Amino acid sequence: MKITIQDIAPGEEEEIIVRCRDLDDALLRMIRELKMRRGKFTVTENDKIRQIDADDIYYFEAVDNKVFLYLEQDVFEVRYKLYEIEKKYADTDFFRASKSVIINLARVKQFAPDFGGRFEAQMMNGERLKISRQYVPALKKRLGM
Amino acid sequence: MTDNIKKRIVELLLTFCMVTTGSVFVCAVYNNIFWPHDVYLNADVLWQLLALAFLCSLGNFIHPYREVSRRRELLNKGLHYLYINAVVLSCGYGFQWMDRGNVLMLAVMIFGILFVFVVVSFVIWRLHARESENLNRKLREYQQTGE
Repeated sequence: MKITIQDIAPGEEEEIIVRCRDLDDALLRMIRELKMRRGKFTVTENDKIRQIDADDIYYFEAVDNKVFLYLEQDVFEVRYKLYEIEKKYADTDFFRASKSVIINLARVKQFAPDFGGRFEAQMMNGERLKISRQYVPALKKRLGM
Repeated sequence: MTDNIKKRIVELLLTFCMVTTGSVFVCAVYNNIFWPHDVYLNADVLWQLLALAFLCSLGNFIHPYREVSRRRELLNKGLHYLYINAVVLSCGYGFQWMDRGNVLMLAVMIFGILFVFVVVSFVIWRLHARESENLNRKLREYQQTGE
């Protein structure tokens, strides 16, 4: 595979263009990793520091002024505010689904209709999270609808 | 105009159309029951039905866009139903579709309200389900392409 790196003028937006015949799994993985490249979360586990890839995160939830990070099975508290995470991961798979939850769209199994015009995100680990009506237009936009 | 306001207006128009259809249907049945030999209807009834549909559609605003609990959502649904009953029965007596003291007319009207409410709620649910199917299709595309 040929790799071309071009210098750009100061202030110009950095851009990665993928030119390919087929988007195979390896390429998709690489794109996802690039998109999530800013993402390593540092958490403490039994007084040990652990780095977590953003890609492995299912969702973040704010509960009583604390923010928790949910993996497939584990839960860790993180020292970020939800809005900081939303801002930091604006161009990635993370999506603000309600006032208290940010979900990883790559870890959503499917959406289901819920009561009162809301949707429910069924995660790949079986958990179900509410998507508020006010965030549905943004979700559609994100998914290209 | 924000997406939420656009969506609200679309929902209002959709509800207005569905309630108008349901009202015309109930009006036809109601007339057949209580005035089976009356062939002519006063043209004012058409405007009255449109006014009724509009007032009923305004009930959509009982459901806020902000996040509410499931319990609150159920309470809002109940309030919405009561609001529609109040509007339709007020119009019924105000426009003299119903005779005061006629319990059968009142019962048929309440059944009509329930019928239209259930049908409209079902149609909205189906549209919502279809929207979620579209979301799932787009989600799969998103997850496959990483876009």
